Amino acid sequence: MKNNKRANFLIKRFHGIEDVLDEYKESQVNRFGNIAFITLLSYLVLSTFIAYLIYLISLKWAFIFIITSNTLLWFISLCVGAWFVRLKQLDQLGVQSDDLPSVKQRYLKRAWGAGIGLGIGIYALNIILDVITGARPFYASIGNVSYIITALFVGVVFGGCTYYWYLRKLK
Amino acid sequence: MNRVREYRKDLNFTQMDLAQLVGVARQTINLIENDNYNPSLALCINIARALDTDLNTLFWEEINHEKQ
Repeated sequence: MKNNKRANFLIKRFHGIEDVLDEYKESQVNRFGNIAFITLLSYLVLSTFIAYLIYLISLKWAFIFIITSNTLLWFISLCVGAWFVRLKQLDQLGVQSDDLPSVKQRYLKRAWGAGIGLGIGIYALNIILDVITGARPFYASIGNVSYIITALFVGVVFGGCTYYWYLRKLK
Repeated sequence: MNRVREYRKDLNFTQMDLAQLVGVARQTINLIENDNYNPSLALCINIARALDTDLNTLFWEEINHEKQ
């Protein structure tokens, strides 16, 4: 029972389901999970085989292939997951008109958090990459204006998109 | 077509009211009313109880087998 609750919590968090996870939503999520598992397993077999073939020619290109294809797959999975959730209306939230302002306020806070989090993440990643590759010393990276502008831009755009995405949940 | 919508309206329930009574999302009630989702037996029983009726009345459909 406890494990079931944890699993439900994870599923709800992962798919952005705020309302109750009822039998319809659970069946849709299970169906999607099965299809995703089959697809990902097929990809794993195929990509490993292709990477091995490339490795026979060049280790460097095999490595590049794995990183690129995995990144692409990650991005595609994210988009398909979001599309599925929206298509099946799994994340729709019925809100009474009295509660609407408070829900919007909560979403705005979350969107701010997401934007700030991603902005800081991008900024930190740039600094870490600089330090690891030795492109710039640590203090020079911290004060790099282009990193700060990039982080701000990404944060604002992502925060805005997240807020818009949240608003589309409301019915 | 089942008769969930008809019975729900007779009792002046909104979809949200019924959803809260049986512990599902409003969308699920909407899907059931429009015959876009086949609910489990447990959910059917819960809906029938919430609407103060029985399964046959809500979900049984008579099929005419008229021979020509």
